[in-house]
Amino acid sequence: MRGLLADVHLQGHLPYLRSLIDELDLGSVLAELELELATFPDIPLDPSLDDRSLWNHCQREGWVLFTENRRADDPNSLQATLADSWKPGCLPVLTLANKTRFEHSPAYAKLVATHVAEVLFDIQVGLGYISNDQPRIYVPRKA
Amino acid sequence: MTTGLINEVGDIIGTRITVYNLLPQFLDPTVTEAYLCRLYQLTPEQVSAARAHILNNLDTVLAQHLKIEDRIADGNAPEVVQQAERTRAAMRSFKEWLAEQEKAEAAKRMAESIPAEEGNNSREFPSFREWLAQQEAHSGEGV
Repeated sequence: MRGLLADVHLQGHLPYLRSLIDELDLGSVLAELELELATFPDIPLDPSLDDRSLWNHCQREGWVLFTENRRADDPNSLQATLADSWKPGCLPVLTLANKTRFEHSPAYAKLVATHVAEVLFDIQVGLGYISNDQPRIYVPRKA
Repeated sequence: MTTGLINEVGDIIGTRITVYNLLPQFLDPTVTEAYLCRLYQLTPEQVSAARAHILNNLDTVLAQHLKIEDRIADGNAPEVVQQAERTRAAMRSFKEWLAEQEKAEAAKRMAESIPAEEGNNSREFPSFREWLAQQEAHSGEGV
């Protein structure tokens, strides 16, 4: 796995997330495991990619997608893709449960950062305690 | 005018951003149009078009918004929450181990009077598998 890929609507939030991870002294853990936190321009990826193509790209290239997933249901939506394409062994998608709270509450945002780091660690190290058989994981785990 | 900027399902054309990403922020009195433009790299016209799309399709948009909120409210599978403590303990243990390695490296550099930069270049961490083996040797640490 290469790391976390912030969806277009969260790429503006990624630097803050990164600084929180550093603040929580978890940056060194991710760095040691050679995990990156990336945005679409970093890869680079087409910012208009549909959900299905993006999910397939993430699976192929080893990215855990960090998304907000607020899209109407359609055949190529993330929800539909997870329903018809996810199988054991696929990387999960991380969904930010409440962007407004993330933007307003440092305590909530720190919880998000902690749980993001934990999921990445869980996958990279091969523990699978929280990532096995989960198409989607909401962060934070409890709002 | 929304024509040409927003498609029928509420996506801002040419982006992965939907009116559902923006709706919570339109409801937040502290959020300005300039903030949205900066955060999402949208033009004022795109933000205005999204707002107009919501107002012109209020029932549909609100119904879909509530559906999204319900999906998020369902949250994670119980096992994700139940198993999280095991991952947290393993990550804490890994972090402590990293700190010990750093300390040992620093002490070694001091003893051998190796400049810090040179020491960093020659720094050799065991692989995760080696780390895991060490943890298992100590056993009972929750890993």
